[in-house]
Amino acid sequence: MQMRDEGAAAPGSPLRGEPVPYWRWLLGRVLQVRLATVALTLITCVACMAVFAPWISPARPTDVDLTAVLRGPSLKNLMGTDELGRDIFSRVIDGSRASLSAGLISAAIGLTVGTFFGLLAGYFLGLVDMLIMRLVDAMLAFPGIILALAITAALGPSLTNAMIAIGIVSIPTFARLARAQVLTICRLDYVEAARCLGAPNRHIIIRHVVPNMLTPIIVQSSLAVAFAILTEATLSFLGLGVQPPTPSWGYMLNVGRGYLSQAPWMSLFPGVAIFLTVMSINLLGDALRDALDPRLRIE
Amino acid sequence: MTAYIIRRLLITVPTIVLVTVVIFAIMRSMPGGPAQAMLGDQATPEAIKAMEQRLGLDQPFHVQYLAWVGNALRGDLGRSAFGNQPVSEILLQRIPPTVELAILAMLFSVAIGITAGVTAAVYHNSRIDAAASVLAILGVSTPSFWLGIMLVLVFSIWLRWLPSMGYTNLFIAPETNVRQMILPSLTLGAVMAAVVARQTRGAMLDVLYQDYIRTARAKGLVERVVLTRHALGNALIPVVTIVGLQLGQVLSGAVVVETIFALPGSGQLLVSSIFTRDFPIVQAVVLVMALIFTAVNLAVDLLYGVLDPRVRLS
Repeated sequence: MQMRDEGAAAPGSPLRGEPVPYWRWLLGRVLQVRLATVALTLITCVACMAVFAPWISPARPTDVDLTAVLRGPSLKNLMGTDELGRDIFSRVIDGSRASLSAGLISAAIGLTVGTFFGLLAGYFLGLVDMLIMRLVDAMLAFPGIILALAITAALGPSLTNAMIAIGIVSIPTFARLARAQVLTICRLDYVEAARCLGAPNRHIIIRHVVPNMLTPIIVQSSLAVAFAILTEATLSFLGLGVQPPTPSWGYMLNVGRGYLSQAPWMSLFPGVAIFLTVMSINLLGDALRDALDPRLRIE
Repeated sequence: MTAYIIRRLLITVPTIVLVTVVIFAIMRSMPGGPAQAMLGDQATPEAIKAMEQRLGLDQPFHVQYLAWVGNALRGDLGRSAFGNQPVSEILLQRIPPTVELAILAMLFSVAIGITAGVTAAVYHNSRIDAAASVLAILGVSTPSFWLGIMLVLVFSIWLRWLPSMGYTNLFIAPETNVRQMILPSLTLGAVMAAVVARQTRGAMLDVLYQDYIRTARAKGLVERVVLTRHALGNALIPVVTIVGLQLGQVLSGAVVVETIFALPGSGQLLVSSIFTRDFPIVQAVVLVMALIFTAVNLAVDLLYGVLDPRVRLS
């Protein structure tokens, strides 16, 4: 997919209007928002933390040192130690892996399954649409975390099951969004023209519908990642997500709660990590929406 | 309006039926079946069979489903797998703290959210607007459980102003109850207030640039009257939807907040029943929460139809 780059080149420049890859155009637009640049930098840092965790952690996150329990932040232990003398900084770094993987995988489940069914419902309409959308309505009748809790309760507590549960919870939002987009696109002249030329449904969907419905789905994906990270942290906080001794921000907060008066840093730092990550993704989502919504650009 | 209400009610019925099917299917998807899940991996086949017979799990799926729905319609939500106490009885004891928490949190979020949203819109592009917007994005991104823990740290442990946990019935000791409910409702309401503030600001900005507002100002009306009588009424229509939808957030948040503050509500009951694998209780709590959420969504839709006649005509 290519776009006319109207923002990157100066007005009157010979380059103005030259087609550029979609992702570069999008990045250029997003980076025009100062807060989005900060958010993107933070997200990159968290992603690097997750990828390079074993190499950048000062200590192994599961190493117990009973001679150093509940120590406050110091040069040796930047975020202090927990009730088993484990280095909280290393655990926060390692915990980013669970959070990010939950965020990305759950959002990917919601995105692919939800968009697929939304596409089917919006394109074929009739009975297919009715069946899919009634099921979507039923799933939307559950408060998000309650449905995730019910699914985790049935499948058993683990990170994988939490990711499946959060992914399932995200499906209806994507399905509704995709259906609404498809309904609009299918009424446009170019789809009608493709139909009149005898193009098969598969060709119309892949070549004409999908590329043109991506914009709101990209925005929703960023919000779905933030939702998934928060929900995973909530499930882990309740003891239904990542299981010890694997570090996770939510579970660390839960344990830290018991030592709040002696070691508040145990609750402070994992919370800050969740907060900064979710806030960065939300800010990026806002910037994406602003960049991709033509009405906001005109304003 | 009657036609609109009937149409909306007719849409809700199949949704509720599907909600019950979804809950029932989820609870039956436990690996090894609910009986084994409740009794654990060490359970003997005889014990599993006895539990299945006691809970009616040896019946075909559709028979179990119809029996469960039929009983639920009569107010019988089954019996706890362990205490054998009726689930509806347990649930009734646990609902008041959750309702109280929900009402207080909603009141807090609406009061703060609408005030902040309107102020930000009126002072659009000023420092007040920027501060309100930053607070809103902070609120949306803050995990409620972390906020709750931090409030306990500051107000209960450091300042010793408020209790960090416990629940006393409002009608037995009102003062103690209020003190106990401040931190939980603040925790739950703060995040929602951020959402309401964002929505109110957006809706108010949309309205403030409309022609009729310009007309109201042009004919010399005081700004306070323009804002309260002409702008706010119309700006609040989409906010009603968001406030209604926030109830889902309240029910979700109650699970976490009740756990942090040891409030004996339905959210805490759900979490503890998941750990004890008392699936009749889990099933009932999820059902009741989904039904409350659906009923509130329906009420919001109907209210929306009353507030904005275009909705019921479309």
